[in-house]
Amino acid sequence: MLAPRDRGTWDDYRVGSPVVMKDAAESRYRMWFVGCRLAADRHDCAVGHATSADGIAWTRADSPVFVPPNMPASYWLNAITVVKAGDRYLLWYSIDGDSFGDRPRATLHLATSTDGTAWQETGLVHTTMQDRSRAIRHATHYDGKLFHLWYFDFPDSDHVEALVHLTSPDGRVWTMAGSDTLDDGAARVGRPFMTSASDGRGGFRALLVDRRNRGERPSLRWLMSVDGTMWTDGPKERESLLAPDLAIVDLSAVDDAGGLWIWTTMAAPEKRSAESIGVAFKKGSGS
Amino acid sequence: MRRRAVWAIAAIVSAAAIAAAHLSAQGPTPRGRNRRVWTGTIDDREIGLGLTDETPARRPVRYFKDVDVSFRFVSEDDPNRPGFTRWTSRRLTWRGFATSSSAITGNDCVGSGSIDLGPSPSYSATTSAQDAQMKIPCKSWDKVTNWAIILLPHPTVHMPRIDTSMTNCESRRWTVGGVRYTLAVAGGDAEAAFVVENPEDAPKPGQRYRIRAKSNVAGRWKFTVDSSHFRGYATNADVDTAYFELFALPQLRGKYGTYDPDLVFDPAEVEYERTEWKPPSRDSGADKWSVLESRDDTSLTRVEAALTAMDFGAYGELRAYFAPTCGGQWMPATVENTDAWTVKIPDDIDHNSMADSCPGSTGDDCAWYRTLDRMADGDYQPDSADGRGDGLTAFEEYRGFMTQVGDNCDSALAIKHVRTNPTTKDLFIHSPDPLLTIESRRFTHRSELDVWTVCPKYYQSNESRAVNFTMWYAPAGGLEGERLSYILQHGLYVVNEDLPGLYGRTIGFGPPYFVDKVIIDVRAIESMVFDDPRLFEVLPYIKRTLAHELGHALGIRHHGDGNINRPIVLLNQPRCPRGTTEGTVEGTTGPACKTESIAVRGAQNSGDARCPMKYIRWAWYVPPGNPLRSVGTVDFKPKDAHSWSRPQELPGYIGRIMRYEIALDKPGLVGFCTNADGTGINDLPAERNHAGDASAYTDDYNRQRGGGNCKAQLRIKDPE
Repeated sequence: MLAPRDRGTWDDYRVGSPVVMKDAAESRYRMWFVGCRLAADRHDCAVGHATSADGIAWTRADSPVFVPPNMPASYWLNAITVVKAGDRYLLWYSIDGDSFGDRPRATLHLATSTDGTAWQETGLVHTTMQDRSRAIRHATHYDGKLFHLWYFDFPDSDHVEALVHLTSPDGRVWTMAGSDTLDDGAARVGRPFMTSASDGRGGFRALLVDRRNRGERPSLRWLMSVDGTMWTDGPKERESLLAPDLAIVDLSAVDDAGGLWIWTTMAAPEKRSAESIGVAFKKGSGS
Repeated sequence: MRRRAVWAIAAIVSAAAIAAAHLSAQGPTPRGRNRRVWTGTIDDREIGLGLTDETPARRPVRYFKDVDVSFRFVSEDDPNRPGFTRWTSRRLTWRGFATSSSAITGNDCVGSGSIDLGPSPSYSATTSAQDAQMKIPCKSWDKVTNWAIILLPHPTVHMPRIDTSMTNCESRRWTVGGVRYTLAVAGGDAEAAFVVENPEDAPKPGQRYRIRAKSNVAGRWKFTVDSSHFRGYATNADVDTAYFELFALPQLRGKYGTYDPDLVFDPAEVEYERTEWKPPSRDSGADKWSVLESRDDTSLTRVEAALTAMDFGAYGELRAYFAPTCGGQWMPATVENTDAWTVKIPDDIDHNSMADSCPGSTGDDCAWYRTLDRMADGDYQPDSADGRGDGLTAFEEYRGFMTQVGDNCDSALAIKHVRTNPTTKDLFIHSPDPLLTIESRRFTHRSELDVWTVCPKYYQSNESRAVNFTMWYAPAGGLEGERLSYILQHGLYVVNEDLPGLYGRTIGFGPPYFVDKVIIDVRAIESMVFDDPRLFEVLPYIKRTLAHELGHALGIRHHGDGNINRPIVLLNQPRCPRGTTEGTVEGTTGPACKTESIAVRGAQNSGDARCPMKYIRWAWYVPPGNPLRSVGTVDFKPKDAHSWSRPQELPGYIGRIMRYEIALDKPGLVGFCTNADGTGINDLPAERNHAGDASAYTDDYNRQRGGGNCKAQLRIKDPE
């Protein structure tokens, strides 16, 4: 659906980490995504924007809408999330750490926009807790009062990775709310897509790739939480392997048109960084 | 109960075909043979994320792979086997790169090439020799590798995957195992060729290389350049605001930076002149403006474009690709009338990355660099103590220097680029003083060096004085990952400042790296000349003083040491010569004479009088055969002193001095001497011989050269 373009373009190697929102305008859907280019050992990334009337055929802009400022010559933008709060869009983007560049820890940055296409850099908002956390695979959510941030880190400085939950009143200053090791399996789940619980009783739902059960094939699974910190397993949606050499890495979802749309980041299991974006539709809402 | 769910997964990258517009097959097709041309690409790139090595330390690992393959296969119906296809031509071209490294080990792979696999009944059949030719060689950092503790790269030139059931003008793109394939087929034979009209032109900022391309069928074009990306635009010049005025590139002001590639497709040309082109891509980074591609809606058989050099050392390879309107996928175009797929810019027959010729140049001669290794530093004239070389590689000399030819560094007229002679050692000098600037240039006559004056920014600053800073202080990889510099070479900073009691002084001692500053007190020299009725011309004394101090700045010492330049007392004199102070020293007979400024034989005033290193203008000298003998400290009482005044404690000597004949002692301006023999006042007969032969430099090195050899002491090459 959205693949890397020809060599020489700004997104010639990787297109992934989609964030899709319904749009009141003609296009119906709008998507932000990460695009990266790679030539030999030189690489950099930016945030692209695309629009679609049906969620399947997308028109993307030739140039990125946001290029992280003040970056080294080569850097890797791991993931983005976008939240609309009032009349403002907030974009959190994570930059991988680079031990060879003397910045071992991953960082999370914030940019804001009034229209989703012209972005203003706000700055660094978070750094991982340990040197071995070289990537931030994050999710965000706005509940009307607080911003919530989840990502994987080592909060107790031991070797057990956990899904960390932080909150913020403004999206810039984050306070740790707690963490969950997901039964010591946090290292074996993918980046979650977060949304509110649909039963009206509050709480959160996470849809992610679950590889914790080594006896089963990886699957897309829902997790449930009342407070956003402690999680319990929910139902499995489907296997995450699309083909022997193509698997879902993470996703963005929208409830619309009588069903659940998900836009997936896909990659070959043996070549995880060479991502592209696909789409799936489930008639009826998600579990 | 869970609701029934229906999933539909659509992923265009997983083997989804894109139907191309069906156009009539173009170009002649051999009758009855069903000749078809298959073109496409195979793109196998990878960046390793979060990799660590296999040691307990789990060291981070960098891992990259990039293999880019283009192909053009030709098929036709096999007349001997009805219903079967045979392949008449199978051309592949590739560039491969891979690297994997941790802090303690690494593995690098790089290779490129092209091959025609020749006729075959099968499109994928290869011989073992062909497989070997297509192998991308890898080299470990370790001499002996017994085990792999990091992920080892295996860059592979993949073979095309061809589905012969495709119909003419159809194109597909798909991904298998993360490797991206494109394939297009067209009936007939699309031929595309390109030529660069003026590759013989040596690069300089603003130099345009004109490209023409043509094809026998219509389609889209793409040019790519793999360019050097040196910092700045000359060995001693960064891209700054003046650059765009100097080279008439105002359209790129604020858009082109000092680290950008050296050969680019100028976006302004596309914007104003070539509307069939998309804006050059990428718009930033190491490959900025390296791709020029037709707009999507164009279909042309002839195109023209221009590649612009932004650097005097620009070097690169140009490739052209053609995508027939029927078929759609990019195929490499050949260089007109050849089998080659790349054009080197500029012409470089000897493969040393330097232009073969410099037509239209102003004194530069690129023949200088013919067959030279780009890292060579073999300047052999003048002979000097530090052997061959001047600290600048052949490539740095070829890339050249921005030199100052006028007084005003803010004026473009005062700046000139030179490619320097790799056989003659070069010295760079900056002086804010106009007179010293001119005279510094003339130092070439005395030193036999090629001397260039530069504005401050062209040796970075008066503090840095680095003349090849763009090559040395640069991210690795100016050209094919190699830094073409092996020494940070320095220039000299010459100033006109007050020097109490001296005419010139060198802060430090050569080679230039160790010399902070060369100071000439022009006003003191002028006063010295104007106050002496025997002297008329001040300039020779300024020239000589400057040459003397520059000599020190290049490691040349005086002709000897031992001149007496402080008050002493000569004992037992028959009478005190005029100009001395007569007095007495208890316990001695005859007058004692207090004086100073005595040139001693074999000391600073000795040797070749034509050499600027010889001291001139002293008050007294010691005639031959009667050396001064020290008697220790004595108590000297001037004749006219009061009886109660205390005697002065001064060094006492026995011997004779004679009045220095200043009128005969001309400033040495010919050049640095090559032996110790005294000339001029040091070659006068008997007692008129002032200081005799030079005594210094009698070490082994200089003895072999006759001793007293100033020229052979030159040290211009800074330490590695």
